[in-house]
Amino acid sequence: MRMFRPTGPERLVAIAVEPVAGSADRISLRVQRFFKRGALTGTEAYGPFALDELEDRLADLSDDLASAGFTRAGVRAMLDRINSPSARRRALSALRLGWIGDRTAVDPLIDRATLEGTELSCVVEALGRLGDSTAVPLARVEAARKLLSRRRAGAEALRALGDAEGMAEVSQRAVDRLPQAMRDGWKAVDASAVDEDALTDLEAVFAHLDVKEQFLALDTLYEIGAPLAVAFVRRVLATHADLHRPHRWRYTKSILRRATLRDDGETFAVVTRRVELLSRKPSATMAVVKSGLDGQSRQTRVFSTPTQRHVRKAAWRYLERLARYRPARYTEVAAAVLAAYRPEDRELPKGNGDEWSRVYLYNRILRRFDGRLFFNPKTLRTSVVNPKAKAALLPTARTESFPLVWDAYPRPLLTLLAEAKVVEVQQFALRAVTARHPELPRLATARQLVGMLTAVFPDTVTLALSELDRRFNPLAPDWALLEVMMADERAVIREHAVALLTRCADAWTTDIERLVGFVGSPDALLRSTAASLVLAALPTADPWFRRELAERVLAILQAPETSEGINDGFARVARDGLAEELNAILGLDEILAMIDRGSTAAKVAGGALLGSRPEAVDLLGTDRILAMAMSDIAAVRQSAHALLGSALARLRSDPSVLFALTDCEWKDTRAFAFELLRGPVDVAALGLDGIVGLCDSNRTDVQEFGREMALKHFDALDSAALLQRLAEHPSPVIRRFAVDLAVAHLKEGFVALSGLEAFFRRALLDVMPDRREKVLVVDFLRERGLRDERQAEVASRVLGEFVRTRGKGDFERALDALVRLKLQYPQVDSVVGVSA
Amino acid sequence: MIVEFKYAGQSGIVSGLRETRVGFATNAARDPAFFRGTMRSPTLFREAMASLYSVVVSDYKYHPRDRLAFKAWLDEQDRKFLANLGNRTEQAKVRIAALEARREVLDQQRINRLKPFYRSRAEYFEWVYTHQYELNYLLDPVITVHPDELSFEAFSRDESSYARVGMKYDLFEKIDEFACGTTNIDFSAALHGELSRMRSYRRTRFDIDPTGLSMAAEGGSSHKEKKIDLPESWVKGFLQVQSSMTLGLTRLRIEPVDLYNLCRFLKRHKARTSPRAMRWELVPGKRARVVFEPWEEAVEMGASAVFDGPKPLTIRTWGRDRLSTLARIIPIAQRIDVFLAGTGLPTVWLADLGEITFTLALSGWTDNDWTSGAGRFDLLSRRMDASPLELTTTWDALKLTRRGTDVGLSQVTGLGVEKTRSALSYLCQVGRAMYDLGGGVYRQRELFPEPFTVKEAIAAVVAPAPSEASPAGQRAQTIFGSNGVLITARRPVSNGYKLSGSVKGVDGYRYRPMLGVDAAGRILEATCTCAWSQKHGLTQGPCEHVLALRLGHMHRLEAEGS
Repeated sequence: MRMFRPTGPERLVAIAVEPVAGSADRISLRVQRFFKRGALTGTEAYGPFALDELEDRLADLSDDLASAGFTRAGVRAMLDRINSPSARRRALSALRLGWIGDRTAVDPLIDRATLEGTELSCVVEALGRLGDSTAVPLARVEAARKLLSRRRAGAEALRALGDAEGMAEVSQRAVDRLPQAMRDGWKAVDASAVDEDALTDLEAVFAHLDVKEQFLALDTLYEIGAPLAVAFVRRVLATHADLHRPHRWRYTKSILRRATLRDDGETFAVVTRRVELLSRKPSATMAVVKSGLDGQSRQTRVFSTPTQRHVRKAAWRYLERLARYRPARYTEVAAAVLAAYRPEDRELPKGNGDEWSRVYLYNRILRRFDGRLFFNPKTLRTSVVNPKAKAALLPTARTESFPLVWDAYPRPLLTLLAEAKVVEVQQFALRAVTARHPELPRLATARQLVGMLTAVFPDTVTLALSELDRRFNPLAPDWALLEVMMADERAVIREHAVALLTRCADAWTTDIERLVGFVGSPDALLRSTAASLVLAALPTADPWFRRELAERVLAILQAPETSEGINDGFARVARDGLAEELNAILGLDEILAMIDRGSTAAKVAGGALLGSRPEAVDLLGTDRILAMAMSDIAAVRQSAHALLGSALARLRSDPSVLFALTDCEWKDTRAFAFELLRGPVDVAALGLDGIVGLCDSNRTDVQEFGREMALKHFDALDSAALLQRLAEHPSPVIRRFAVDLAVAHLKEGFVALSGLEAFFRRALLDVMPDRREKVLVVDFLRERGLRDERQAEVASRVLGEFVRTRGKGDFERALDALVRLKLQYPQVDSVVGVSA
Repeated sequence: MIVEFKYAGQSGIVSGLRETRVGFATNAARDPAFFRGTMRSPTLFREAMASLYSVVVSDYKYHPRDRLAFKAWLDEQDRKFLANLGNRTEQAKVRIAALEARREVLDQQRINRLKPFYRSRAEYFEWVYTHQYELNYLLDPVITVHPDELSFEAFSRDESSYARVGMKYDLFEKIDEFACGTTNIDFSAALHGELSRMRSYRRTRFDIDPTGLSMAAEGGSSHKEKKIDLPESWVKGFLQVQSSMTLGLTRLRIEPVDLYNLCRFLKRHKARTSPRAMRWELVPGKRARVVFEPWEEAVEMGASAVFDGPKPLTIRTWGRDRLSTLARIIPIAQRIDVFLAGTGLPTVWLADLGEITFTLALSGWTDNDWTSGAGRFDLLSRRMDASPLELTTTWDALKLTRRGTDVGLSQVTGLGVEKTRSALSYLCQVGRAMYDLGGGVYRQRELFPEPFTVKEAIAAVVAPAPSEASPAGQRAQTIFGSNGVLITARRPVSNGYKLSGSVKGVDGYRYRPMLGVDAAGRILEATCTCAWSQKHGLTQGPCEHVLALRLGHMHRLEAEGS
């Protein structure tokens, strides 16, 4: 910082901030006094003191010097220019005074404002930046103006001056100015917190607004400045395709201006990125719009190339001023700008350009001093000086603008590591951190650390993991960090949290409160892992702890579930780890109540407990156990299986219970019934009806079991009746089984064959038949037909119809059979005849 | 129109070892129609109902492929390409390739690990889909208990096929009691599965009753309600089917094996290019042939399918894949009648299964559905005016007898055949009656739960006839009113009149329609030189010039009568 006075032996003072050797967070101030440039008259040193005290100490020092007649360098010149005949010069000098921040400029600026020249908005903005409360009355008046530029300047000045009363009026007027639908929508949401549902509601309202009102509403919301409004504005600007069109661009510019006055880096980054991307292709539009200056409507080119260039250059000028006058804010805003770029913002390289050649701000911030690049100020493009040369940068080379500012205020580098999606930006931040600020990761917040874990650059992830390792002590875990990680919406972060939770299992599996929190987590993976870890720890837990936990888990299971599945971890713990304790606590009635009326988790736990109570068989009765065996809950079914398994004698005397289970919709219950019917319980007791009943099922596994039983007990069954019944089955699989049985076992004679005539017809007239089945049937009919005349009649009837189908291969076989039958029995009616 | 289906019970089938009980729950919000009996041939019923179900769930409309997955893949490729733009060094590329390969391995491992989960999820979604689909979209069949038969009627999901199962009471060995009426039945996929367990060796009780099987579900009542947005067009679909059935149809009797040959060919051949018509080549005195386009493969029908018409006809019909819904009934069918209306016009397949008649009416092509397509077959019919009193008299007569021919009913009402026929046409139009093509009789069939009132009768007759209410009908009236119709030739034929004329259209140009009508004024055939008729023929109903010529003819008839 430099200060100046026009008279006296010392007219120039330069104040420099210097780090204290060996102490990263301590600094000292060096003050050099000159008569004129190059003529040093004395040097003083102040400090050392903590970095946090810098601004206060600088203010003290400048106040001392001001009392001696010094002012900030440039102030006097600007104060002279503020009365220039040129409005442009007056405006620029006012803005410069605002940036310099010397409060001696306040009164001259207020005096200037009373003249109400066209530079008035700039003067009010400057007064806002100066932060002197004497400007509040003027700002309030301006904030109530109709003209957008003056109203904006007044409102933003009031915000910068911290005038709560004035801002309340501004907000109220802004709400009143909103279109009716948006006003209603805005009043219906809680503006103080950023809520996803509220944002979605506002988006829905925004989408239905008239095109001319949409961005006007957006600017007004940004003027209100509530967190929800700002978040909504950022979201719309980041996603809206046409912010450069008429009726929109004017308000987008206004929002950009407001963002610079507030030093709102994120909004600034969103708008400048969209402007950079839109500038890549011709996007100007001709439209008749009303001038903000004189209120006249004119045919105007909106978002023309000069406008784009002006906005892009103005954005960089703003960043330069930040670097010079508010260096701490520079790195924050620059980091926000860099973090806003996405990999898809790259372009295919053309000519001497590379992927980022046309992204002006990116190049200014990050690659300004890259010797391999050349910047064209006319086109704002950065191109490669020699594309064929593949010279790598030296590891120590600094290409970014204001490297000293980055060194002095490196904290936003963490923002870049956590949020930047572009690899080059990540590389820049990581290089700076590893080379110059190795201690910085220790200052990262939990949220930043979580962001770094999902960075696109692997080395950043490694850095985050090493920091995580450093911070995480399994014996004394950082619970706050774990909570942030577990609440993160990204699955990969929650997986990291689960991994950490596993490492520190010993620290929480003995703490019932934490255990309940983790096992009852909304995240399914976490719930499941926590339950597994608890189950692993329970065998070695103290009996009193197990009892206490059992009571707590029981209370949770008996209460209604707050959301579906949230208690499934407790059900596992109860079933697999605390069965003994719960059996001791619960009576049979309570278990049944859990099964009948409890949540799904309660049913699971109750079912598991019931399975170990064989005395329940008598109490429940067969019908109740049957219903349980068909329950939707696997554990309840399993308990029913266990109970049925302990009542084999009863099942042997009445196997129809198992017969009912064979057609249950649950595979495990069916498999259980099959197992018993294959082994200890004899299905033959059910007779032909039972076995055919199994085959009659619609389920393929039951049919298969039925076939197996039919073959196993075939000798004991009435084969004719069995065939007759199987022949009615509509399934092609059973039909094939029946065909095989018929071919092998059909009784001799016309009666048996004619009984299956419809069956054979169905087998042959299936639109998608089994070829082998057809061959079997045709051959069988031929063979049986040749035995006697009456069977020949049946065979001729069926084959006579089949021979008219268009199957080429089977046609000859069927015709051959018919001819043979006709030759053997010429008197039988047939579609073929014998000629002499 | 939101129609509420309220089922106090649940349709279902309980198959015991020796007895089966079939219970259809009827819509409690409708007539208390019921039926209780014991079936003689349950397998016949099973096969017919299986075919009905295949019609109900069939959807042969074109559905474009879902390309979401492909688009997601494309986006991923774009993302990869853009993300890799900055990585120029070979080393970086090699490292990225190695990482990608590793990621693929890990992805595959994750997929394998999660396979049971994905399978369960797919099963769950399938269950949800089926459940919700049945609950919200499937229109339950309309069941009517007639004095001589039970009938089930339904449209396919694409609304291009109409099916009717008519069960004669001979199918039952014992009928305990019944009350005539029309209602809906609860018909689900699960019920279809259970139907397939019906066997002749089990005594089969068959009940149509509001309580169905009264099977109380575990832990609650089995009460089930559906609220389906029944489109007006669905009701219109019933009318269109009735209208098409009363057209002058060309009838062919084919054998089940002929249908088998058609279905078999269709199962084995899928046309990838147009034309995709099924071409009926009918030559007088010869067996009918069906030619499948585009392969030009011909299937000759059996001896019973000899065409007895006066001149050769070639009729092309589309949407042939819909025939596959008949595949189940081929082995049990005794004979099949095919009714053809003309090229691009509906086809009706009437399968005689003995005690059951299965009717399948197919619209001209799949997209030209019965219920909302462009078909306007009601325009082809012509009816006389009827007063509300005549309408209620006819309805009372039909309600009394429940069924009857137009001649028979005219004797009951004393209104005369033409008047009765017109009144029946009105009743069909308002969903109070239906025409049974198989039996050749009109039947009472109430599509709506509300009783037919005088008010509705007045509304029915005051509402203009379809031929007059339609835009084409109105234009025809305009043309006729401005003396734009000139009948150039008119000769009586065996089944009505043949006409040709010159009609000055509303656009000022003259067109030359030719028309064949029966004695009642129903259009049997028609052509016109206008562009619309040249493009559509009769597939979307007659043009205004044809209708105007018919108006001229009817006017002449009246003048001659007086």
